[in-house]
Amino acid sequence: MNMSRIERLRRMKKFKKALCLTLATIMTLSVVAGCTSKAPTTSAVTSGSGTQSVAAQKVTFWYYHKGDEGAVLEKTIKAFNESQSKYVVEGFSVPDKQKYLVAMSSNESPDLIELSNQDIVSYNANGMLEDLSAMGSKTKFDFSIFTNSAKTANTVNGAYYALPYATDIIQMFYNKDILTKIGATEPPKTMEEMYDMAVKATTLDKTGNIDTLGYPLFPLASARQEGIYGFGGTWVDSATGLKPTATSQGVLDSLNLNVKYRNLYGIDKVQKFVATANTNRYTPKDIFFAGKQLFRFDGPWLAKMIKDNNPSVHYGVTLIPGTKANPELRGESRYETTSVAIPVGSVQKDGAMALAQYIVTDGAKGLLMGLGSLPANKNLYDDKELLASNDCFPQFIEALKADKGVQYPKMEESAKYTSLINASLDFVYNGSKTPKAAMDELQKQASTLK
Amino acid sequence: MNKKRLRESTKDNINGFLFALPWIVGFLVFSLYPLITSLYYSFTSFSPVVTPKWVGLENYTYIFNDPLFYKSLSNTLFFAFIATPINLIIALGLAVLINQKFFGRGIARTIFFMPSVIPMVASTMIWIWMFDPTYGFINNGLKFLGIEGPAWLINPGTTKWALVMMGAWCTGTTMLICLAALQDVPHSYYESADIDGANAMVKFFRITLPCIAHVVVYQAILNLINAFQYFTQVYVITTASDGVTSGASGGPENSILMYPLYLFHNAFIYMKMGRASAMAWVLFAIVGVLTIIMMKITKKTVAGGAGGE
Amino acid sequence: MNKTYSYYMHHARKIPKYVLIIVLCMIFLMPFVVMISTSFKTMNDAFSMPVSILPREFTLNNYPAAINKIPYMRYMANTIFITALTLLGQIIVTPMVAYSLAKIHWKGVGIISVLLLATMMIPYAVTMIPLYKIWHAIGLTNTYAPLIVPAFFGNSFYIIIMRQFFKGLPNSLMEAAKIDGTNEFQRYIMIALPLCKPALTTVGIYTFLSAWSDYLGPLIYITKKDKLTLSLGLQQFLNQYTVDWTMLMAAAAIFVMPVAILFLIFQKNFVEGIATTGIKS
Repeated sequence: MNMSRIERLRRMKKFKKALCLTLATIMTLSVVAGCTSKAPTTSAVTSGSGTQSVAAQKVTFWYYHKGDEGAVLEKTIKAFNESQSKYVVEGFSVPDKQKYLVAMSSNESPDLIELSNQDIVSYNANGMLEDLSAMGSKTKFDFSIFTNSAKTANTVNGAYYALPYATDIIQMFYNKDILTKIGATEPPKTMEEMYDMAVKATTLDKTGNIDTLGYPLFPLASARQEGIYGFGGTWVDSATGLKPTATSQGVLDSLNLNVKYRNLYGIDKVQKFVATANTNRYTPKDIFFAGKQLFRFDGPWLAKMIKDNNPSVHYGVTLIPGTKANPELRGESRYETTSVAIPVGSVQKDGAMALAQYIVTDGAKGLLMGLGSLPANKNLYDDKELLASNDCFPQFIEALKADKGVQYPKMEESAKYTSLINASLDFVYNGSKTPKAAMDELQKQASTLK
Repeated sequence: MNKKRLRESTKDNINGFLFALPWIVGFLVFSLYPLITSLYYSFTSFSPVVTPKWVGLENYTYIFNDPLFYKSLSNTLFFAFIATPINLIIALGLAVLINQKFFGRGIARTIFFMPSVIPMVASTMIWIWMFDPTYGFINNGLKFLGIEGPAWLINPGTTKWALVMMGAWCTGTTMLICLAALQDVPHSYYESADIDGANAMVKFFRITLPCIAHVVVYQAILNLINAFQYFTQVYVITTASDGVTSGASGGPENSILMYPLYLFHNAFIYMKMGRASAMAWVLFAIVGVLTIIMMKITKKTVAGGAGGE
Repeated sequence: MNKTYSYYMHHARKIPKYVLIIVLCMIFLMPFVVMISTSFKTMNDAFSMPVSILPREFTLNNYPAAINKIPYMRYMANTIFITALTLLGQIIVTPMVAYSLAKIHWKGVGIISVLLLATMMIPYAVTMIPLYKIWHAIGLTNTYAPLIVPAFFGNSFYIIIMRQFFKGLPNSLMEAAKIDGTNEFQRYIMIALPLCKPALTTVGIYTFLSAWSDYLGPLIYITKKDKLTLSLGLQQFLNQYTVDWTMLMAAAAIFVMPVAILFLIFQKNFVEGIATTGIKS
């Protein structure tokens, strides 16, 4: 009896050893495999045509798009590399914004970065960006191709710190079928009309949960912005962008209507629906694609995604509603640009500038058509190919031409302000605080920000 | 004789020092120096590219007037004083269960222990998926029992309890330590209790608990200290939110803004590293005081508990 | 032998306990089941109501897709590299320091023991920023040095574990060797080290787990995409415009697998190690 147990133990030990060895071998093999495989997103490093008498200088470009959108950027990089032989650009997809901060302050700073204009003020306040007006005057870059809005969004004290290549504004998408079902012939022009239509369109399923959502509570970011702007509310004053205006009447009007809608159906049910909508966002089961959302404030990329995912929803695009009292607010939207900037730690500033200039001029069209974004370059507003590439571009570009658009806060701590806004809105949406109470509190907190 | 002993003790001193040298150097470089510098930084204002500029007590005044500072502190205190004891009780309960002999005991122990070895990032993501109000398994399981589950990670009232559930799932290590302590209790105690006619409850509270008290309390202290460093799970959850915000999120109504997370936001998103250093020192002070208090309590319980083994 | 009534009653009384245990096991296994079952579903299936445990549309696609979406193998290589070197450092240094505290009678033992406990109390946040600045000044951010080098200087928790173990070794062994005329170093190599295998295994396992799952360290120090570790790589699935849960679950499964396998093999060591070291404080 004893012998067999010892035998068994010995065999177990041998088995364990064998298993360990196998695991170790597998791991070593994968290390070897990993080391020899190249990261798939680095672009092919081809330089321009013709013989090279001088070795091409390397320029690193970090962009935050990923996946298919990242591929569009890689294509543009490749085109730039092939168009000249002085610089060779290597692109990296770095979606995590926090990495930019860490890298830009180390000795491994990228030469050119892609960023939203939201970040320009804080990066600049921390001394991280190069003055592009100065560099552009040396290379004789024509800054007049940018609209006034684009200029305001990308300058600090009159100097450009980033060059925009794409513009993002938001307008209203609506589901034509649901509209017909509730007996409306055209989409609403005022928020009050929109509210009435939303209530008529909202339906519940057997268990009492929301089945179709009328009011544009989702996507969350546009509910927080365009949902307010259409009422004439803003988060900062439009003159300087430095003073928080959370208690402005427009904000309160918008939130009051929002809360009224939520209370009609029960805050829990609404939150649940929004949570699920968030999980499904931009997938084939997105609530708008599935025909479960009547109104939606979103950008032109939505049209591209609808086309890619599910062409069976009949939708239309129109301007964001204004109010009965202020119909001229119709079409109010945030104004955001996707830009490129040069960190101060860059070692190839001239190359980065050349790449930047390419991206906002020659390379822009390819980028915009691939990403489904609007142009920041005035000259592309009437480009036939661009207009045809996306079903809703014509309407959006019309709105762009008006050169309105609500700018982002210009305060240095705008990131913190955004977090505070989101948290305060949580209180409102969950019914924990009334809009007035929440906004008063927010205004008090925001006044301490720089 | 004296000379020999003297030589031996100096030799010991040298050897001891040499053997411990790596740790000593590490302590000076990686613990002491950063500790002192971070104290200095807490009185300055700086960011990744800006050199530190002395600002005196400005950082401290700011954080003591910052509502989010108090919010994050209260969140962390909740976690330390509510979630941690719950986890400890669950771990103890599981240990008691496994301590009994039954078929499949080893397998059950493995199942209970495995979650605590899984990388936290992966397990957090699995739980996020499970907490989804419509497609997640938890709400669907509750639906099976006829209960309508809440939107766990969206409703500010339930987010913390979601974290508690996640924590309870990972108490494997604590459970094992409790189990080992349980197995150390001498059988003779139980046998004499049986002779005296004691039932299970009496046995547990009069014999088991006092014998394992010092282990449980030590675990409690360790887990308490760890609760103040709770970061990874909340970071993954808050950055997984709606994918659009460039600001820093603390969950719905900042309900899961834990202190280390807010510190991280201040340092790496708002780029206020001086302020973050001040926050770090306040944390250090709090943890230090709490630990000392708990150790004093421990000494009392161990001394007053059932006479040793 | 006829089974008596009391025999049956005795076992019947155990039924509620068995039920409880089975329910608990199911609860604890649930996340794993969810992970694996979702990884074999298509996106369509995962989002269809009612939700089911077994995939209705079974697919193996998610696994190769996950590996291709991010440079998975590269990340695995990186993670293995960091883990292996960390393991090396800890295994070399920890016993040394523990031995010094347990077996050598010298003046520093008292202070160092106190300091060991004290350092465990320091929250990572306190030293995080100055450490970052140090590495930044040396120019070693965005390398693996900040993650690996500290391992070669010992970790307080592991040292305490090993010290307890060494204290348990009888002094007579050392005394005998001293009489034989060996010096301290020889005693360490020839006697103490071979004997401490169980505790060393525990330390090794803890180190492996901690390095494999490390998140905050790589988050702060590593920025270049091809240098990321698996923890960070996994997070990339979440930073999407839309989240592909089925692919994410597959990626998570691959990430978790080596740990799970290791655990199942070395279970006994885990349990013994934690048991022996956890109680003695």
